[in-house]
Amino acid sequence: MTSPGNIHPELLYIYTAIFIVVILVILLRTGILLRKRRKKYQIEQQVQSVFDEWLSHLLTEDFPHDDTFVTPPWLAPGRENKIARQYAINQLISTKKNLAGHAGRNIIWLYEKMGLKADSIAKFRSPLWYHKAAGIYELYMMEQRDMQAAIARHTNHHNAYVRMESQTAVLAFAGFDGLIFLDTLTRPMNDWQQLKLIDQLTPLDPGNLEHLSIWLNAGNPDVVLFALKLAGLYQQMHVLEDVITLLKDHREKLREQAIKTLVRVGDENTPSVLIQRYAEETPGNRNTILKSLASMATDKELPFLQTLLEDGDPGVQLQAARIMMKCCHNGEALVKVSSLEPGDTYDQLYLHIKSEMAR
Amino acid sequence: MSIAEKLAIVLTSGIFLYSVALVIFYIFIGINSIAAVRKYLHKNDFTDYRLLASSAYAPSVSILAPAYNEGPNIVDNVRSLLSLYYNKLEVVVINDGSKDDSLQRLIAAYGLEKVDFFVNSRIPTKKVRGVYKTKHPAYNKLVVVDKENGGKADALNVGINVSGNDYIICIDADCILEQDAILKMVKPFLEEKDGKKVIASGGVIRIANSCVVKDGRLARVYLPENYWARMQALEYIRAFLLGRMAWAQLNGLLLISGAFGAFDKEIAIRCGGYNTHTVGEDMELVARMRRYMHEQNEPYVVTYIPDPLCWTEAPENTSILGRQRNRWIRGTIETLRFHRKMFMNPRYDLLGVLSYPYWLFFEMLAPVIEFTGMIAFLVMAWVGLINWHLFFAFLLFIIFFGYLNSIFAIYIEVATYNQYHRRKEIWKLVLAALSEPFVFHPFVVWSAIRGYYDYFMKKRAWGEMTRRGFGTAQGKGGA
Repeated sequence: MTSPGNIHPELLYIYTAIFIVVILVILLRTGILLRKRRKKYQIEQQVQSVFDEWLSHLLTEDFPHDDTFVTPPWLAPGRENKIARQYAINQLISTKKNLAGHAGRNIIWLYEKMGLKADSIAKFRSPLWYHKAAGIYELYMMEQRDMQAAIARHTNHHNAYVRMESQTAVLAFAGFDGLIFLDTLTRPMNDWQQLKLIDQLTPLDPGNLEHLSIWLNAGNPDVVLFALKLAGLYQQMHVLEDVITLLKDHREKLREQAIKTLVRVGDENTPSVLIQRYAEETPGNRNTILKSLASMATDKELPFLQTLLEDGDPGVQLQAARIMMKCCHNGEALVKVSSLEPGDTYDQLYLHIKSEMAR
Repeated sequence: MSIAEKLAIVLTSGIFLYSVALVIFYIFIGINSIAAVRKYLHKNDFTDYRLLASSAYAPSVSILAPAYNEGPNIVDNVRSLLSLYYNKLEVVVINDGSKDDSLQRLIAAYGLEKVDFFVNSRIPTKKVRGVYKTKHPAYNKLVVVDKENGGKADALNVGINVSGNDYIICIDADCILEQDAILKMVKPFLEEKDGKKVIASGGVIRIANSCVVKDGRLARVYLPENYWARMQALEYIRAFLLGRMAWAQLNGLLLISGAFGAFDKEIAIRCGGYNTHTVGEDMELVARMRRYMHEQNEPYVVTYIPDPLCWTEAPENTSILGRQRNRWIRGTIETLRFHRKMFMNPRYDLLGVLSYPYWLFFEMLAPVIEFTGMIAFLVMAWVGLINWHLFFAFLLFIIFFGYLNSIFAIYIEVATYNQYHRRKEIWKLVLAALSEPFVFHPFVVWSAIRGYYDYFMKKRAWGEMTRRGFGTAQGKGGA
């Protein structure tokens, strides 16, 4: 066994000396870092002061789109101006997010005129994933459409973040046509990415999403999930059968989204389709079905809802009572009758929903 | 060799091996935390969190804020929560039988009315006396629950029962959250990878003492003036930026602070909610949720985000700090005792063979071992069994390794979030680190030993946590 008796104090002193050296190196690095930060702050302030002036002109028509514009030497291309140029790119992107039309085009012009595109391309070509992703982001934010083909090659990239930015970029460049990458996507696309893509598409006209049926039958479950969201969001009634088929998929998450989508693309038979699925679903998806029925149930669903009202789970009872009172003609009367039964539960449910409806 | 000498060798060998193992663990944690923080910063470098605030596909979130005798600050704190930037948000304030006028103040400030509300008690709790809502459109996210006093865990369980959303964020009512705190906390739940469900996400807590607070928001960050608070600022940087990030990277995180943590509500309910029989309910819930997922064979992760999102007031005197540390150690003992089945149990993967043993040996037993070592040292010095040359070499080795750990944490802070902008404050933090082995650390060890005593004496008290509050200008700059 190792014991202190076997350890020479000299060895511990050597380790201690190593610790002291490392501490001093870290302290030195901390000092250098603080200095760098201070310098960076000063450079950024310098850029900001010039940008404030430029941006006030950019918002109007009087910005000179000619050779009279000169990039200040401290913003000229070169390694020594790296901090200033990156700050300039960040500021332009941040401003561009809030601008459209002429002012937005002025921002892009400025980005190109200062040669900042070359910086973004250099990042895009970097082997480091975070540089590559940042480069793609900058290029699509600055609407550099000539880079579309090069970026589109990365929509199935092995790195999730490069892939994510590439997919967002092709949608930014090509709108719904950019979704073609879904045909060949084999890698995951998480919920955050899907949310981002939907945000990118929201202001655009979807047309007739012709590939939707292909995506709904894709081998990649994330593509199917995303396609379900698109189908629901843009009410693509023509894929109703595909959506109904997905209600029986073995993956719970897909079934959940199929239920939600069905509410948007369904017809008068949808409530009965959902009710048929109810008994076979997981508790979570049963809850989703009930939430969906709340917006589409009719008197036809009353017998089913009445059976749920006698369910042992108060959460289910509450939801059933809520649907009855909100969607069925004599639903309120039926729940009120139940509330007169012995025990507090039905009475509380009734009062809860009454209070909810009154607000 | 006499029995006393043999005993001394066994004891000192044990402590020596323990120290070496601790040093190795800390190095391992340091390396892992660098990787975790770097990856996090790179991947979120240009994330536009605003998308989440208004997206129809963002998860719905309920903030649960238990309050007990928070009268003077409750209205401002709730206003601060209501101003958080997130559409699918509900703020549930649980008045845990306060003896002061907390409820009346809330009713008056937000025009609350008692409503008929069916509480689906999926988790058993003390009686709910009433649920209050308002018709004021600006405050329609607010739900106030009045209940019989039952402690923080019971209040949170009521909050879980009442909440209507899919995810819960449990906070201390007196914490100050950054405006984008919810957005950042929620994002990991949307980033499931390899089919692993994200069941919980933790956030970094920072010390708000001496900071300037204006209208319930943090206006300016300063390093605490008070020595004890400053030491805790350093301790929190070390614990959150190094320790928890590293454990999260390994998916072995066992603690999410009760002051700020997000959970998948359904999983929390399936596990039975917060345990009301422990003073370490925050750690216990994470341990139980993880254990549950393992036992169900459901792949999962517990994530952690290093952004400073939640600011809290740290104790500024030894009596309150001592009570806090006393409670923390009791909570740790109770949690590890409840879940002792996981110890070195390969069924629980890394949780059983690494996280649990780490917590047992280097968090729970550390004060006992240190205290025993101190007593042994005194006895051995008395009977002349100390090899002074070796003793000083070992002492210096340990002290300087401690310094290295703290200085490294400060460096990571400067290199990442750099909350203390003035250089003077960083050097003050370094100086504070130098004093730690002689003042702060012995005090913390002593408080933990008292915690052990209270634990064996079956004292269950939470310990009163008096706070100065953020109401007035506390910073140098004034409010």
